[in-house]
Amino acid sequence: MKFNNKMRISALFLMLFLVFSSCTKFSDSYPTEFKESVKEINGTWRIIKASRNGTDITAQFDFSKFKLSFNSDKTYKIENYLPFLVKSDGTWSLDDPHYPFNLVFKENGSVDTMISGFNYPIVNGKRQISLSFSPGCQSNIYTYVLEEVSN
Amino acid sequence: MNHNLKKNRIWKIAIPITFVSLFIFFSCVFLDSIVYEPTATAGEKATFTMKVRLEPLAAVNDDRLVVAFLVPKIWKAAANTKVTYTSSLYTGSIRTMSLIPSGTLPKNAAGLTWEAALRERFGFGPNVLDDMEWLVYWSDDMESVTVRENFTADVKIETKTGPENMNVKLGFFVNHTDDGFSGNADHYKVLYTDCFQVINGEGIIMDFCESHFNMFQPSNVTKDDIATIKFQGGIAPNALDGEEEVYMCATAYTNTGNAYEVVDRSEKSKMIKDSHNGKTFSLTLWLGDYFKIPQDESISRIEYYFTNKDGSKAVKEVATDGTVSLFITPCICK
Repeated sequence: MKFNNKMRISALFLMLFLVFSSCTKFSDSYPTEFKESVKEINGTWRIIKASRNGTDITAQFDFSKFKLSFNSDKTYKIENYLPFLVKSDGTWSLDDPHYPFNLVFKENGSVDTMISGFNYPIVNGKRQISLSFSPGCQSNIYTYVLEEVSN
Repeated sequence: MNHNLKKNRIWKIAIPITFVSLFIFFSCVFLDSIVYEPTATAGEKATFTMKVRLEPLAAVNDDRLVVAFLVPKIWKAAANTKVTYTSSLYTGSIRTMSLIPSGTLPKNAAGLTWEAALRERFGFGPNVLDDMEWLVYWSDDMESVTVRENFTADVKIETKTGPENMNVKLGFFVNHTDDGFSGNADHYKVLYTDCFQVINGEGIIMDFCESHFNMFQPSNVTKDDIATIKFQGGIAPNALDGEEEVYMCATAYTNTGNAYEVVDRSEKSKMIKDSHNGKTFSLTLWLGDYFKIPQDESISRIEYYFTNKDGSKAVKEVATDGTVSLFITPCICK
């Protein structure tokens, strides 16, 4: 009889132990928090496609010499200028580091910022930047697709 | 015997399925005509009425009528257009339509917006210049249509023409959101006007209807634009027939009265032949750089003609009275 009581009490403690120990918070040693990466555009880019009002004009005009360099100190530099959103060198920023829709340019010595629509697709394994802007008449929309110049 | 029984069973199943499929998927949208005055005064109101007929063969809930309007960009019609419709479904009631919010995707256009899908499929219609845009409107009210409830709708588009003299073929498109630009021609229709004239306006006539020896695009430019100038030698016999090298001789006039010319028939002014056997040559140039326009001046017009390598043959503008002059393109930005 005593044995039975001891058994019952032991079983009760065992059950209580199991219940409380099962409530221990599980700690994952490999936390998986998914977060969109910061868009890195540092480097020198060249035009691989240009369109005007939706019409491809890449083959009709020499876009090959234009270079746009984004530096890690948030400055940019233009080589061999062509009609573009800004004419001189300055600083750049993205409107959102993770989900950017716009690329913001500010020319040196200017208080105004110029904003270009921004797209950042990967095409055939290569990162591209697509910028849309109106350098001349506002009714004309140009889109330059840029690809990083390989070293 | 068994084989025949199986055949009969298949038909017993197949016929109703075929019938139901047709019943569900077959409905028709018609655009019977566009009613309009063939001319309008520049800067004044112009009205176009689309005579639409719909014959649905399936009940549809929460559908919207969609119409689109192909119009010169220079009209800035999005800010100057009112679209309403009357329908046999609602006798006496005038209903409104609004511009579809920017970025709205039709149900079946592979991720393109309504404007992009229209531009991809129809371009700028029968016009020879592409400075045009599709404006897309949908009915403000959701419609529910019961099976075989045929109805008509008169869609009235009231817009304001631009200030320029112009000949243009305007485009009109009708569809509905439940189809969402699927590409099935039963569900959409498109019609273009004959050459619609805008008169008593500013400047030379911008002719979207007929090809000319010269073409200058885009029609709104500043010196910071990249423009394309074409010599379209194929439209009529001319002095440059048979020439493999065509050059543009041009002069840009600025707001200060200065003239900057490129008439040396060098590599810079050599036009590119568009196709091997064609007679169209083009030159795409950054206007400010090409003519070396100073920073503080703007281009007001460009005068030009086309010539062969040694300058012995040329194509210029010939007026109906035989007067010969240079081609003139005003550089405006509105």
